[in-house]
Amino acid sequence: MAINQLNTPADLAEMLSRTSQGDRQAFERLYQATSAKLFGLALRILASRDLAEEALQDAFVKIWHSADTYQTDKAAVMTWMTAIVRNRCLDLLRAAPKEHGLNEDESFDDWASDDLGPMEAAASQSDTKALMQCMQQLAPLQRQAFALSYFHGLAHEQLASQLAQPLGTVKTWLRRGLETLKNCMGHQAGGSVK
Amino acid sequence: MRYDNPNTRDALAAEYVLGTLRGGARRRFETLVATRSDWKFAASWWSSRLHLLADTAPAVAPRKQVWQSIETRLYGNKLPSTPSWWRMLALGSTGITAALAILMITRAPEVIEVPVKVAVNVPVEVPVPATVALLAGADSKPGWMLALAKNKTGQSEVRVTALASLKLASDKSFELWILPPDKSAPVSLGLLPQHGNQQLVVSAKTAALLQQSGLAVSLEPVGGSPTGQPTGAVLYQGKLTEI
Repeated sequence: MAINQLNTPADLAEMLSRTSQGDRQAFERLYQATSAKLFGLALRILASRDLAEEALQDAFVKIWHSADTYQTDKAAVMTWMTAIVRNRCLDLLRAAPKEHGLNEDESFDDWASDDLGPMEAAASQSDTKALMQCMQQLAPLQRQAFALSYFHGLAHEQLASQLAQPLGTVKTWLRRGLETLKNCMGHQAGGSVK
Repeated sequence: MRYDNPNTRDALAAEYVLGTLRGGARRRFETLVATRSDWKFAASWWSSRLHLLADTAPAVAPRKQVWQSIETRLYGNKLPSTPSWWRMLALGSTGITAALAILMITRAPEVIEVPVKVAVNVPVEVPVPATVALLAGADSKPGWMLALAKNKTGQSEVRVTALASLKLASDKSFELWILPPDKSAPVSLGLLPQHGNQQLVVSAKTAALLQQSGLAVSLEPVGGSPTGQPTGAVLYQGKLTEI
């Protein structure tokens, strides 16, 4: 199921704004409009249906309680909600015992592939496609390092060990990779995207 | 650290969002974001881009129980829904609903006249040009002042001020409804404050509809109508007008 295309960023902003006033109907609409996409993210990070459901519940409880702290000039609603869901997922991932059946071996090596088509196909926003085009400019292992840190919360040392590279090399990859993305997306977006 | 070096700032902001900035460096970054607007901007810039990575995960609809659990955690047990007065009104089957309909029709024109006078006399901060409405009860006592305007980021915004003459209802919520000109079902515009001001961001679509529609306020259980349609008595009405 794709994200409901009828909901523009302005619609989501309206739903969140109403949610912050305690409007339960608006909150439910916000959930209906975004939960499939956010649950997909939780599954990608946690690879466990039970944990992903727990993370989604925790995240939406937080969204309800902190809707009034959302600042329109800082981030789009979807960005704000995505950050909340990802944070909760990474917390649960760190807290989960190893025998929980999480795929410890998840290496995100599909991100090292030259074909990013599957990722682009899942995208619901045109900005995502632009990001993926910029990602094509990176080396395969650079892309994989990004995916591992974004979806598995790996720090420099863990990335080095997972990718079997010296720590300094991984740090340089990330720094240069982010510079490449900055130049690429800065040009594409004209630096005006909120 | 060279806090004014934009390359340092952007590199740290990117690693902050990505999550690879840890420990003391992460805390120092958060302090800088809280105090410096250029650092705050850099963090937002990266946040709006790197979080697009999440969008590469395919959407999966969660089970129905997930939403039910969220509702239970937030509100406890769900309130039983009561029949919608609007649906009853549409059927027009009882004298009470017919009387309510007449009330709505005959009261509306009076209400339109009121905001102009009030807006001129009361020093409420209203941006010019502005579209305003006064929501008044059957006794003509106004409950809220409403203004439709653009906020600084260019989004349409409804600003509501609860007036001193509002009769408070501490164990209930007041919900604002748009009554579309084509007589289709009312559209909720959210809950109204019982004290002070409140801003509500609305989409361009909603803003356009607002300008052509009547407005009604119903008394609802705390948190708003459980059905998505008005369930309680309509206590206040009004219509937006340009001043």
